[in-house]
Amino acid sequence: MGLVEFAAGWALGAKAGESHFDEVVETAKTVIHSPEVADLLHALRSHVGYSLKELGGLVMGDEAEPAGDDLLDIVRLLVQRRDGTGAGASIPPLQVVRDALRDKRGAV
Amino acid sequence: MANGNGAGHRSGLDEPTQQRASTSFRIDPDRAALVLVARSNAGPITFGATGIEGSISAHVTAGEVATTVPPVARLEVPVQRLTCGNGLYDAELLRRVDARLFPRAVVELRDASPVGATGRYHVEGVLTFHGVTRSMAGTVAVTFPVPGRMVIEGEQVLDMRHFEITPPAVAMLRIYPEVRVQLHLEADVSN
Repeated sequence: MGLVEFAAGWALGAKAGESHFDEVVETAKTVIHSPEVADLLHALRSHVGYSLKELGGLVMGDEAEPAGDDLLDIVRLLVQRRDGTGAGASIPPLQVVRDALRDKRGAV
Repeated sequence: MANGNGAGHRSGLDEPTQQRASTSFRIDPDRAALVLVARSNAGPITFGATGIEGSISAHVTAGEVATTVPPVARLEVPVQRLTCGNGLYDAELLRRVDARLFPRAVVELRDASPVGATGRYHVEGVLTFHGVTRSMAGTVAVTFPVPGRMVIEGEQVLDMRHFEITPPAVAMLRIYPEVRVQLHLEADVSN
């Protein structure tokens, strides 16, 4: 990483010279704080958030958020999901893989 | 806390006395639920808990709550029972709200007034959560589906920053500070 920064600094210094260094820094700051970069960062953050959610779902066997008018039913569903009990409880995908591998080892 | 005046003593009273006496109700923890719906940049996250305890003392006449004398109520919500079904998220929430230090959120009703003849009431009270006490106001619906049972339902949007709680954030997952709080209480006349 240090080499890359050094090379970039060297190239910028060679092209612009010391007198333009402050100008380069100011331009870089303007670009970083521009609405376009802010939008890009926001989009990246959202994308990573959704990716993490998907990954969490894959690992934890996550399901859709409960909905409905009966709050008692919603809480019961959440508790069942936490405890891994109830008719709607699903087996996490990684658990399925582990079980399949164990069965395969047992069959050999 | 309910004052207990007239708890279970309504029978045998003459009508004017009966109308003046307040009735005490005890909340059924298994029939009381609190649901928090938080928004995040990865979609909504729902937390819920049952086990709410407390009591209500109110003047009830003809299936309505009389508010000439303000009803009194106190609810205690076990914060540690909040769950979204995901152990990682639960742990992060309980860490943020310091559930070990503040295991209960307490709601105390201070005043109520009817909203027309709709069965809805404008209520005012104080909420103590995360060691911070703030005045709250909102609207609840009160019904009496069977004799001796009161059902209360309400919804309110809270900003967790008002209770000195930093919105949870895990890596790039960002949770917004406004939380929709939904409450369902069923209470029975206590003897």
